[in-house]
Amino acid sequence: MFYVKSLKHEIVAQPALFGPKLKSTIVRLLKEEVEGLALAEYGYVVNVIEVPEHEIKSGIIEYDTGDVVFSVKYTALLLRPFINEVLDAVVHQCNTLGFFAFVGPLRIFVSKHSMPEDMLNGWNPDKDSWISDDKEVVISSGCGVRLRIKGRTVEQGNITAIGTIKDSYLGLMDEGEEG
Amino acid sequence: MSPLDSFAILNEQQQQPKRDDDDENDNNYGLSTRTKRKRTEILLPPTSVLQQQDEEEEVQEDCNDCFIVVDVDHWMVLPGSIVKKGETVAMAIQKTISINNNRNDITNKQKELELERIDPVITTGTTTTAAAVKHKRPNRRRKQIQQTQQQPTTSINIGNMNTNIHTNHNIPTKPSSNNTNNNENAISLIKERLASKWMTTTTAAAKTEKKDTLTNTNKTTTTVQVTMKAVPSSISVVTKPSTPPPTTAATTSSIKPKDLIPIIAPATGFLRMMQQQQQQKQVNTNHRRRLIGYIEECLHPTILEGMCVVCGERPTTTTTTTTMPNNNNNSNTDSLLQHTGPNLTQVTVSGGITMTVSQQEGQSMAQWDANRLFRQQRLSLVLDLDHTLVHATSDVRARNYLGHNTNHNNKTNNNTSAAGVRTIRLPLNEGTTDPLQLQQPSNHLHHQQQQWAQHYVKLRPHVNDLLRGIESTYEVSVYTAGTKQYAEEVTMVLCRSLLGSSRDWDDIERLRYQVQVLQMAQQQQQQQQQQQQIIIINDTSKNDNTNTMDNTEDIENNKRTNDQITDRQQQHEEEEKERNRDINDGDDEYDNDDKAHQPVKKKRKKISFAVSTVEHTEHHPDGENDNPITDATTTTTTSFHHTKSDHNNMITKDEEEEEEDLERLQQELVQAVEMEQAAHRLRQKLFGSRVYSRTDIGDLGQHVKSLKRIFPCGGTMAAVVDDREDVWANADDNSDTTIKGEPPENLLLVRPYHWQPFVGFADINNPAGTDLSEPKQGSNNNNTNNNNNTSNRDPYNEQDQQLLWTRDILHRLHQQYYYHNQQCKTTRGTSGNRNRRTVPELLKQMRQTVLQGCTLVLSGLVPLHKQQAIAAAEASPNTTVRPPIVRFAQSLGAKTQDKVDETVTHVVAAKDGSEKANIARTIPGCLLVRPGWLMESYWSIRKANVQPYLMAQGPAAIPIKNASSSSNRDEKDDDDDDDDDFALELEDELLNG
Repeated sequence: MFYVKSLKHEIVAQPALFGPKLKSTIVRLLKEEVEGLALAEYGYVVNVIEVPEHEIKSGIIEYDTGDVVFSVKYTALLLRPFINEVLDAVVHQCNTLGFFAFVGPLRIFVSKHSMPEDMLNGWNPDKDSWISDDKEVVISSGCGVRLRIKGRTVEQGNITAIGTIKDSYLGLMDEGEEG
Repeated sequence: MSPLDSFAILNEQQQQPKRDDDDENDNNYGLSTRTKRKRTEILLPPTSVLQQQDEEEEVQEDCNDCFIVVDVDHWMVLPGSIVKKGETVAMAIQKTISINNNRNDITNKQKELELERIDPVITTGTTTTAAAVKHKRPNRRRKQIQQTQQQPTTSINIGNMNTNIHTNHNIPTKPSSNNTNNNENAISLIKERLASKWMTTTTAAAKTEKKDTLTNTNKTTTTVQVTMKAVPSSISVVTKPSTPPPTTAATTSSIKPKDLIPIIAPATGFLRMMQQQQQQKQVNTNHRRRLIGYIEECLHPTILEGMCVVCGERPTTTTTTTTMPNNNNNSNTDSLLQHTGPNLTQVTVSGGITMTVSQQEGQSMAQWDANRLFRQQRLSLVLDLDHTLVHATSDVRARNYLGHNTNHNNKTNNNTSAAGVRTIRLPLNEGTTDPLQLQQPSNHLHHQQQQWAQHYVKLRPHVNDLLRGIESTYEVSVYTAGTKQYAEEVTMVLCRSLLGSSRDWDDIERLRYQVQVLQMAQQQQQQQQQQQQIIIINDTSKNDNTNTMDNTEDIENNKRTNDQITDRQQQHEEEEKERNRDINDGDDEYDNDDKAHQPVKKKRKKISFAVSTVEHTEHHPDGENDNPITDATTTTTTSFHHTKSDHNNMITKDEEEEEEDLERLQQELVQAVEMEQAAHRLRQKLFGSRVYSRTDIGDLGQHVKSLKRIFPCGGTMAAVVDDREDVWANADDNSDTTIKGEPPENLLLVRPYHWQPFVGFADINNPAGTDLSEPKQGSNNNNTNNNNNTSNRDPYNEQDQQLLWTRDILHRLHQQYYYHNQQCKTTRGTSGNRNRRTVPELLKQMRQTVLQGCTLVLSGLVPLHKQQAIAAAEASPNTTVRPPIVRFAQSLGAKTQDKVDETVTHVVAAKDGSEKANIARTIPGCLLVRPGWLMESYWSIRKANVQPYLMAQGPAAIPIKNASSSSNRDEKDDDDDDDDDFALELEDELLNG
């Protein structure tokens, strides 16, 4: 789910960056550092929407290095997977244990145990895809699937979620370009 | 709300799972159901609780309401899916019956309830309410069940509805229209039936119930029990999926929220519903507690980043979210592995993601894979790349062999012994790419922005033969110590060479570029021609004529060579130089992006210039002549220049030639692109996504390869081809059959392949395995051997037979495997699964017969201090690691001895002149051979011909050796001595100090 939230971040600026455009430099640094990052509690920072200029307060000089630490408040667009949330994802890769799907930067793994029962033994190693017993549903890389998030784990800079397509109205949505 | 709110009963006792239940449900786990899994029952509130409550209430005699939990109204969770502890599983219907001493009141009350329930049936027509109606008329309900059992297809009732629901469960992803239709039909039928009958039946039912109550004593408890006894037959299971949302809403509205109590999951796991009959059984044995389903704990079959991928739980209390700076996804599973012991194994699945799977899951995976391969009559094969199939180097001198390569290829037309040198490009900044990007599909557009390093890949002779030979009988995987990209590029190279295409992706791009330029030139020329036809009539000079003739020849030559040269950089340099000369501009620096556009732009300038000169200055041929002369070596630009060398006869000729060129190039381009696509397809077919690389298995380190990573249960159908056995031996999770520290039996060791001019230079990945037959190359005693070596050194004419041997071994292995196992199948029936001979067994057996009956003495091959290890190995054969050469000999079925006596058939000596060698000469029938013989036997699993490896008869052979070899040998001796000395010193120190 996407949502907007105001967050805080500390920017360490080197003395070389001090100048007339310090504020815009700080904004640039902030975007470089923060965008694409996965924050443990908030999810992926998709985009820094706004950095109010008046929120960039004067920094504190570190004695050892001469760098200045600015504490910046900003509003960001965040992507966070919620448990039991239903998402549309693009299958990126299938393997013997299930498949990986992406929602933007978010990686979701769907185990074969979380697939409908007629797909449990449907792994086809030649085509690298999961095929249901009646051959009607073929999930291969590039397909769009609708899945429900069942759990997630946050590691540094990366969120991995697990999903299920074993429920009504879940499963293959789009055959993909190749399929 | 009632006191039974949020009612859930926990039964923590581990129940013996019933076999029949398991068989029905077992397809859900993909695990063997032999294991007992913990079950937690979900029960409806027992009547006893109610009774107690009622009794308590009765004392007060004021409160006459009692609650009866009747049945499950609807399940919130699809059976078979995961529920978490505390989640609401289902809603149960709860009835309130007020009980007075006056029996009429009871019946009245019941009638009221009945009316309440029936009304919505007629209006909304949901199954739930229908069930409620039927519950009210137990006798009729029972009859109906009997009816359904007799004619299940025709009559539409609850039983039928249930089956509908079940079919729905089977395909929950595709809610089919049939089911909804059925539902509607059913509902309408029920409506009709009820409309016609309810007047009579309700009264009848009321009577029967009344009778029941009358026959019993006037206690409330018995009333309750009677009702409960009647209840179990009416099971209304209305699942969420089967009813479309509006009807669900109607259902809930039809029953007062007060009447529904949630049943809360007592544990986390799979939800299983009891079948109707089972429920009945359960009730018959035990009135008090009605089992409506149970929750089976999740066995956590697969764990990704410390999280079970099925239930989302963290199976162990590891500190997973603590700092693990490793950017690979293995970090957590590592710690997990240590915590949970041997039940979990790590598997790298195709695509290179490592997960942890439970043993059962691993077994089921292996079983499934084995069955599939068996059906296809194939085996799996794990190939190494470096020094096994190819030799890759980044040495720039290798470029010199490129031209030779293509010429050779063209002439001999896919001769397999051709010196196949190819180039690949790899990003310089490997390792810094973040894991996300690594997993994204590689995109060629993306490549141009990265720094590239040129690498040269030399294909081993006969690699095509090998791949062709095993294409249909083996499922090939690649397991390399290189990076992912390296592995992919090399597999592409292999596929290209298999198809016989000499162009790689870069070549195609270059070709495309040439075609574009030519097309452009033609367009320009056409425009120009029109102008010229108007303006220019006559301008001929002999100089020009000859010039152009020369030029055209040059062009032809250039094009030919350009097509053949595969080195991209070289080509670009040339082109750049030519362009610079042509234009006489000082532009040396091109960006990659500009390359495509710049020449075109400049040509345009030229055109305008040339045309203008033609138009205005007829008497200044110098300006025009200069250009063609300097252009003499250029390819496309010159050909364009000729067109403006302005005389009409020549123009037409040039045009024709140019068009031919263009057509030829276009054809080539089309062919090349087709070839490339075919190569891609072939690669997908051959290797699929079964390419495992160092980057995928970073946690194992560079010098460890583990078979379990790919085959969680040891790979009983897999053979491995590698030039190093130590990497496999280093894995600490080898299957139990092999001695720890020794490689698995699956491994087919091959002779490390070196591209002779570049031995040991700038190898890209890990070094090659040690070649134990190497000492023979130092001593040039044997003539044939000598020839062999020199021919090996000639980079264009290699005599390496290893891959033919390997192909032969694999062929034999496949035949044996399926011959044996087919027999197994026919004799033992379908239960042959468990009796299948495994690949390691077969390989072991194959090896055992090679040197059977031979008795070997090893001379100068095992350092002194290791000889003690051999002795130890003999004492306890299953624990000690043997020195490789001894192991080779023993695994080939030969006996090894310390001393040379009459029984010895071969003395394998590292060098001539040793004591053992001298004794060997005195014994008739005892052959003195170089270790190469033993190694060849091992590499080819075939008794190698002794002849080329025989040491010359008599010690007179010693002086023949030349200076270089003797120095080599001295070094070798020194090494050995050093080893021994060192060992002795160490011993002394240990004993004395």
